[in-house]
Amino acid sequence: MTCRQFYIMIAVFVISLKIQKLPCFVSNALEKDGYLLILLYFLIEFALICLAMFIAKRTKDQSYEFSDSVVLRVLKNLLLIAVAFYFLMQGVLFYEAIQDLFSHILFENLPWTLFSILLIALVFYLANSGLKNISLSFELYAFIIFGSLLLITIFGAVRTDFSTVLPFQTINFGKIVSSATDFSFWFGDFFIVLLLAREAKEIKLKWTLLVYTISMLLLCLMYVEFYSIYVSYSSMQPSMISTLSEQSMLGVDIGRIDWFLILLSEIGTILCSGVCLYFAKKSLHNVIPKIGEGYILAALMLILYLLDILLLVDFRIKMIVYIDCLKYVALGIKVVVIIVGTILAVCSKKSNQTKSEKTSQNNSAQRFLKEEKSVNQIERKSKMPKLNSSRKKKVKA
Amino acid sequence: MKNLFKKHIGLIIILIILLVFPTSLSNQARLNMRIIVTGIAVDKSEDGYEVTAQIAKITPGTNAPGTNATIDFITDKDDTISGAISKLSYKAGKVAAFSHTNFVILGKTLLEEDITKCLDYFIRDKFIKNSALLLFAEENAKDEIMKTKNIELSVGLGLQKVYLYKERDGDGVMSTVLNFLNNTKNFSKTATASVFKLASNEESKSSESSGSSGSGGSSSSGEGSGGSSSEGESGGLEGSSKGGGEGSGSGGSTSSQSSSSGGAGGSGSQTQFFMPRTSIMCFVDGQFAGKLKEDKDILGFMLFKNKCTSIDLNIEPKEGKLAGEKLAINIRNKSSNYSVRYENRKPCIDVTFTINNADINEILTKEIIPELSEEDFQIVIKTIKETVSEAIASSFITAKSFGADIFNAYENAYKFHYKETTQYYSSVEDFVNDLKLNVKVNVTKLDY
Repeated sequence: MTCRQFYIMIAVFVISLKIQKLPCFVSNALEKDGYLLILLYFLIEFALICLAMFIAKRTKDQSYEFSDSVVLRVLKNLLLIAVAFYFLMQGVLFYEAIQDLFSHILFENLPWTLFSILLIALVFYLANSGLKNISLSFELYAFIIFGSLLLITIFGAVRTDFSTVLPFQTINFGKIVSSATDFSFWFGDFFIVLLLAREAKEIKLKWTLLVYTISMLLLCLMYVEFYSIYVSYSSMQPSMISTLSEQSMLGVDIGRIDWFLILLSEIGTILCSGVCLYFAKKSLHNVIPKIGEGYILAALMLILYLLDILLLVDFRIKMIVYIDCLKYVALGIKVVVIIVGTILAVCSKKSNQTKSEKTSQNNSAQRFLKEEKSVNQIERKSKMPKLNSSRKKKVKA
Repeated sequence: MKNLFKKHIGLIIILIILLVFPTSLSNQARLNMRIIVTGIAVDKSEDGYEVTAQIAKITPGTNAPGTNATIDFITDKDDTISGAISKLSYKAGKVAAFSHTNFVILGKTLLEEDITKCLDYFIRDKFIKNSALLLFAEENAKDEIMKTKNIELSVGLGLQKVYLYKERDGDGVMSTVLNFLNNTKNFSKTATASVFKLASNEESKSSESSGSSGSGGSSSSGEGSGGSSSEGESGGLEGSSKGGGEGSGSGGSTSSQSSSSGGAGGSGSQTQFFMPRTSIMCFVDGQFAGKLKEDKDILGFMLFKNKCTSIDLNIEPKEGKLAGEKLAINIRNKSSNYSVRYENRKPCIDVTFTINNADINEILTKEIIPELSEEDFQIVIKTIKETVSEAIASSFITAKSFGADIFNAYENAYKFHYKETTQYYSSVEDFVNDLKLNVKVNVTKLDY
């Protein structure tokens, strides 16, 4: 993966996950101050991304064997299973956004159980094709996705009254902080940065931070526009991306042409779903390497399909699962990953240090031996009698 | 796994096509079973709610443009609006498609209760857009919506577009369901919407004799222009129009004789229908408060809102060479700003209205005046300023009399002077009672 593909993937992943249903939930909880939640997470993630890049740099091309310790192996497997579960549920979140768009907003009578099979096949193909192909796809569609998002934002800005965020005196910071954990599943972008940074070449921290900053600021702007247009009725909207530009097209005779932009921007959502399933597959494959990656992926796709069709059908159930239950799971996994990653990164440094110390010790020992040898040689030479002169004396005598 | 996939890829593709293809075979049949609902009228009845849907019926076998559809209506009643609407499809025997619904008319009987209750269905329903135009009928919404059959098809089906043009000409308010509800819920709690009325030339003749101003075509304001526009205007949105934008003929006055859709109103009918200028209704906290009926009030409100691209003004200077003469001014480029401040603990709204570009379109004198003297020119500018100030002040005073904060002053004060507002006033009503207005009008450029 090139650095350009890495930056594009980060930007699309960060934005695509949060432009669907999240603003509706946030507006219900925080109303006009929801953008501050996004800014709060931005600040936290900014620091965590720096840490993630450090961990990625140190642990790149490193393999960690725990064959000596059963406990460590079990812990490692548990962590990998947790990571796989995390990415599977995040993949469901992306997938559910596509389902909501097609089966609830665009086509009211679409038999989703049937048409979902097509999308499942697409996501399977994406996840199975490898990170290189996925990143190429991101690069290919980057202009379309970003162009669409930008145009949607501009259309939304036409109808926006930015004074909706006022007055600042009514901002309740305590409420913002306390409700921040409710939406932890949608944030935690440092995790994907960590995983992608291990696969990418020649990436720089400053550009990563810049891309992330621009993405989050765009998200902030979109939220402010969304809330100022719908105000008290923001939480009743199906999603932010499908309604942001709706009010700007009233004078156009040909209906909502902004639907093209929405559908094009949702390409990013489908690609991100593939990324999530890819990492879930990789994590599980590390736990059970004997089973082929394709089979693991097939099982994951089946689970995703069943979760989407059978278990998470109801909007209320989805809210309960993601906001009330999975928030603790997400927080826990991220904390553990940070701790483990930091330890591994530091240990990698120590092991590098010990290796270099050993080599330097070896070098100095060798030098010492060489020196001693040469000294010995000199001494031997100096101690050796001058046979010719003495023999000469004896001969003369 | 990869080999398995590659071997049977053809079979997999065929299976998928077989699974999804049959679902598309019934698409044409489903389309034929659809009716397109373009407008909804709601009245309160003894049993609950009476809902009338305006539907566009495709006439089979027609090729000429504009002749392939007619307007029809279905009515039903139920305890709830949702129940009544679901009965409409059943009555029509087809599937009702609501995604093209572009206007909602609420009848007078609904004014007795909180309007936000009636609009709850429209904001929740995912098929009816919340960007649909909201209108009110002076009497029965069902009667008004049924009159749309007598006007040109594109006008009758696309009232939202018509009101967009009316707003651009300063002739009415294009308030969507969402905007209306948002304004009801904001700090000022004041929302406005236009009255929908279709008048016939017979009604207009009778109203002319009683001296009311029922202008349908020209967007002039200030003085009552009066007169039916049916003679001057040739039809609907193709009629003569002022200001920028194509088809900006306000009022959409049409004659059923000139209508190209033969089904609408019946060709050869003597009765012509048009949209006269109507009042703007004001609601405070969802309850009906009052109306802006006078042309001056409507002019002042539209000037303040600054949503019109151009607006016409009739003035009458009181001094100078043109004293007593009537002048028609067209304001093409203007801006309106306002801010709220506190003066001795009392709120005052400062409105600055700047006319960046205006033309003297007509001077009604016996002699043609090719050029105005500097003195007369300054008098004209002064009269324009006075007329605009009076119009804005008039709308403010009228709205204030029934407790409506149509200028959203409380919201502005709450956002930008939070401390003082919360300290001095606990309710919007007290704030509006004490609110004063200060209008400043500037004229940058006036051509003649």
